[in-house]
Amino acid sequence: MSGGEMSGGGVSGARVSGGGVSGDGVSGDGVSGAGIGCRDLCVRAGGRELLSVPELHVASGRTLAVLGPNGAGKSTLLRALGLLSGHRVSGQILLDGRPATRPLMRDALAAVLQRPILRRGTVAANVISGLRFRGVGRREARARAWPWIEALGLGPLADRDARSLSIGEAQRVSITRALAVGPRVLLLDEPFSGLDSTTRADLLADLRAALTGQPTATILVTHDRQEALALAEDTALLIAGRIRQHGPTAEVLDHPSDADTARLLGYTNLLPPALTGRRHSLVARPEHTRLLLDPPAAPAGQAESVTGTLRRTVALGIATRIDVDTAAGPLTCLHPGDLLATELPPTGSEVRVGIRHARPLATPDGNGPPGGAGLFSDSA
Amino acid sequence: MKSRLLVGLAWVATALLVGCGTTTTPSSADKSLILATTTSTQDSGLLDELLPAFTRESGWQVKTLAVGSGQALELGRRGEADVLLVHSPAAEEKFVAEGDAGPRRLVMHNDFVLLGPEADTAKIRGTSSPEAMKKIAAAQAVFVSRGDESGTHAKEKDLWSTAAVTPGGSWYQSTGQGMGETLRVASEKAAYTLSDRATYLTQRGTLGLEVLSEGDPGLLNVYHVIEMTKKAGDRVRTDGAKAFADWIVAAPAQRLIGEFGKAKFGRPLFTPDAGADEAELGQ
Amino acid sequence: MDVLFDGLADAIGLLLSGDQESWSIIALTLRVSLTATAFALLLGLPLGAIVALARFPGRRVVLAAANTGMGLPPVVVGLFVTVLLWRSGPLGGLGLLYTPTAMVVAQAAIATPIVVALVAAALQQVDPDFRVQMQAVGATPVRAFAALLGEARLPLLAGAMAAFGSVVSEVGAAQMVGGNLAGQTRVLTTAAVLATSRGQFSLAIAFGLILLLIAFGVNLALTLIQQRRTAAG
Repeated sequence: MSGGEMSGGGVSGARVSGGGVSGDGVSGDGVSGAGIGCRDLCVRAGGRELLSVPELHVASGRTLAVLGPNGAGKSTLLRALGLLSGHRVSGQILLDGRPATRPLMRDALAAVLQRPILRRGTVAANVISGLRFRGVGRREARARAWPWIEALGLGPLADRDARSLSIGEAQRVSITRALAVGPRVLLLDEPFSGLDSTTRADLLADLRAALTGQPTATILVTHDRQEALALAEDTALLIAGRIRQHGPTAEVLDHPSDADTARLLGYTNLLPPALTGRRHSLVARPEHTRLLLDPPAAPAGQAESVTGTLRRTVALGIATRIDVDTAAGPLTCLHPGDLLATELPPTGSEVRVGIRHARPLATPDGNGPPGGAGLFSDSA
Repeated sequence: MKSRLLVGLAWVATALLVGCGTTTTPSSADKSLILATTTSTQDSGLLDELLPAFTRESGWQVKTLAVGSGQALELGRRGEADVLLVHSPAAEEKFVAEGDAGPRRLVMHNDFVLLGPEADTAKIRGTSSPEAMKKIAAAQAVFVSRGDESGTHAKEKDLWSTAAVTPGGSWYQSTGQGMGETLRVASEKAAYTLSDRATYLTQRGTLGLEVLSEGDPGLLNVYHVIEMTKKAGDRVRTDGAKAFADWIVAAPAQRLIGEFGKAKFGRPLFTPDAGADEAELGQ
Repeated sequence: MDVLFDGLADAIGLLLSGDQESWSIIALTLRVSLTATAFALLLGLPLGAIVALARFPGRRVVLAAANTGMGLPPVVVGLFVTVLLWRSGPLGGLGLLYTPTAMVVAQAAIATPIVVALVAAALQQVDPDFRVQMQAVGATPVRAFAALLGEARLPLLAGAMAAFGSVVSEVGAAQMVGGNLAGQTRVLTTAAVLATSRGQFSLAIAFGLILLLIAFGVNLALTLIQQRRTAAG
């Protein structure tokens, strides 16, 4: 059952396409090379299966983003891979192709949890604590950690009490602490959640720069596809404890295979066959979905168009959101800029909605057999 | 850092416990006996005088439990004490009749006194004890009882029954505590109470109580020493009990008892009685 | 009022004169209560940690029991220990009743629930993922636990102070299992009670003041440790 899920639809084809996992020449195929991975991983709690991953591998020097909604099992996966799980874990965790033991993993690993958890003491003391745990002397630890402190911009904060930091600063310290040990495996559990957008953008850039060129296998767990794009060559989509898709980030983010992954990737508008007359359901992003204000001007052919009732319009400052109810469910349109109310039809009127870049789903929503993988590629 | 602290704590704890053990083990294993006695002998300071002398002469360490006579007898019955020094003759006789106790010998006596406030609202000054008890009950003057099944409490109940009074009501109050505390309560409440003379004399200075009725034969306070036997418990030290009982009725200890308190109060607090006929005491 | 000043004068007099008996009472008080506290910590620290950190059925029941135990009357504990140590009791063969060791046992029994409850509370204040995060940057489970103790050291030291304070000031168990034997098991609280029943109020107050001084001294020492570490970060 789980195997079928993982390679469902045309996604397994994307996995081996150019620029993918095996392209860097460092790792071999599958799970045998340097880096971290697992085989037949299964995590249970209270008789319930939280996670089932038949196979996963991240090679040294590469970054995998695990993208999934809240409660999908992302943190569970991360902790299981790091041998940090409090749950019952079965299957194999592989470190450099060999079954990982706790001492081996402890030596290779550094992880950053979702909340920055620091010890009492200064920023510098926290940053070197990973090295101190590894038996490095205080002086040497400080010398080794200092470049990382500089790189992550913590120099001015080095002697501050860790408890006086803002959450963004604390997360920066937590990340620096992980990087300072020079880990062969770096696990990041939503390190940017809870940060304001500026702090987050800065930290994202600093982290990307820090990771580049390091022989580290990095796994980033997130629910934000921008973070995946910024940091990870590869992305896996994790939904309800299963990996639904896995491949190069750009491809995975643009090719949802079913309604769940579509929603996760921002294709929140679902157009079932009943609405479009197509064989497969189509999905589209709100920013590619527009109200056709001037019906005669609607371009024929290239774009889909459907009709519905205008429910409400919401001015969002930089964009205007328009909710339309169709016979098969609601659609959301996002128009750039501030539309004048006078330009819009009144609430409750019949409108046409045009959709660009609609993608067919390989698996129809709900009932019906999966469609052929080939249909995938003809989407605009 | 923390673990070193913990290890340190463990060492300190072990060292201290070993220390506690070594200081007491030899005495408790070798020659150590448990004396259950009444609060009056401890509170009056008599034991502080007698016991060091006994230990010096015999080599026996004495662990003294100063409790009410009732509890002292109960400890004896359970084999938790080796020898008893008590003053509750009626209860003692019943206890000896049960068969677990060994020899019971007369040691000494002092007497009880009826105390009250100087104002003496019940007008008992100079009366005999049965008369006094009747008057207190009739006047419903506050009377503070030990209420702890001690020898003093037993004596007080004897006095009520001799006077044919059943005490009760708000004027009759019970502390359930030792003689010292009970005297204190009586003094604070300007109430009547019954006390052994020794305890009263040692604490007289801090009390607002006077002796109002004394000297009648019914107020005698007689102490006996009772040795316990193995019948009460396997671990009873009969040898220690015999050593103590023999010692306290012998001449040197009797002399100490006769001298005790003379210097401080001008008169002895106890009268040594070893070998005397109990029926002739106080005559 | 006079008796209070007399008590103060007596206390100073006892301490300055080097009165053998008083000093042996003070020494025994310190020895018994510190030992009992140490044992309570040895026992209560792991127990409290297990209650705080492990997940097992009945965990809440244990925690509730420890919290109840914090209010356990010393007299009740003393009674239990006395009955156990009686010659006719299950441990009577040890001959421990009316020895300082028995007092240590009883006082440790009084202090252990306090330590368990306060350790559990102290450790639960720290982020539940603290140990995971420490292990995630290379700490062994033992180092991670030690780091957790270091993190919670302020409330942990407060727990130690509460435990010591509760045993050094209790009288019920000390009286019952110790018997208040002169030179053997007489501690400041039982000595104060005896002095009171003998009508020696200023002496009783003197003992009380010395007790206060000892409790203050120990707590001062622990507080200095606590605050020094905090300042040092």
